[in-house]
Amino acid sequence: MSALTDKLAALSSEDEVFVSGARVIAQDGGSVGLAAILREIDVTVLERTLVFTIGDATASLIVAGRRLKGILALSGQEDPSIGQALSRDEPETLEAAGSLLSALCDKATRVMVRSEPIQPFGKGGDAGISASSLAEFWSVDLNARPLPPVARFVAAHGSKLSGYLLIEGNDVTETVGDADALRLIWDEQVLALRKNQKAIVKTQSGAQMLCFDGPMGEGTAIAIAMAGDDACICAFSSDQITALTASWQAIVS
Amino acid sequence: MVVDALDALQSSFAGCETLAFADLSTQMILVTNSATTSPREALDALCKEAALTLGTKGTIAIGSDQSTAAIIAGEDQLRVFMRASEEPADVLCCVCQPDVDVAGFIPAARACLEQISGGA
Repeated sequence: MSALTDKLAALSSEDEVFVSGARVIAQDGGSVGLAAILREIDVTVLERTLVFTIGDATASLIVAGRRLKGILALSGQEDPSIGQALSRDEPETLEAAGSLLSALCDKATRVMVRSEPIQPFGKGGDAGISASSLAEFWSVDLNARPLPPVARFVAAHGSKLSGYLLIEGNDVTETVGDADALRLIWDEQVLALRKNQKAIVKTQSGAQMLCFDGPMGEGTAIAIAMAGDDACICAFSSDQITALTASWQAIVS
Repeated sequence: MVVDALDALQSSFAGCETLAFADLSTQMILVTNSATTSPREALDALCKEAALTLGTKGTIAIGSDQSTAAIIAGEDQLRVFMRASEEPADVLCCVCQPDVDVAGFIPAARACLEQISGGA
């Protein structure tokens, strides 16, 4: 019953985002993107061609009865599994199809879907494989969801940061690198800065990142990312400022 | 003219809305791009935020040194403040849509500021 309730809620969601007619189903790649694709299969009852935009690639999947019949086409890819009806009797083809989609999702930062009319595919007797079976076969957690913005930012850029503090509410939950200096800045400067900023910019709301070039000398940079109760203060080389800012904008926009 | 440099920068980047050349020592906006629709109060607030984040004489917002640039990246707006290398009181305040090309805009804004501040 709860599964049905979840599906009805998903179908009636008003929070959906569309880009060029395609519905955004994941603002993340990897297992989150593949899980989102499987969830789309799981809610598709009538036979349709689901066209997924996975990063720069396009995958057309034939879906019916909440089951994947096969991959009709995959832009820029040639593989024996493309165009083949998927069956448990042919595990190699099934595994190859999963590997293709997984590889695309690993490189993607966004996955979108369009539902298009059916196209000729396979034989009439092909039943396809259910989304839950695919999840099991491909080792995908169907409930995988994107990390919160601050955690996503740190997960994506941890290797570029010379140090960071993760903060939930008033508690520091993780420290990496030169945490003492960052802790001092957080305790003695950030809270005062935020208070003064709110007094100036009264309409400011939602997730925000403040990024400073040179606060610890030339070539240094410090950013403070905040979303809800989560925050992160991190240090990095100033030549990363534009890349990290653009990444944050992509995460929160 | 300063306004021509600001207009050229603004017209080069989709999503760039307001550019203001300011003097941090007096906390006054001196010139804005001609297409800005920001009211005076918003420009004053922009200048105050520049002073807060970059730091004015005797004040430091974050860390141990005054920052040469500060970027406020929000869900609905990107604000950039940067100070000129030779005249630290000369600052450029920028208000952009969040989807502006950050990687292209920031170096271009830096070049514009140095040009204006240097009197070129």
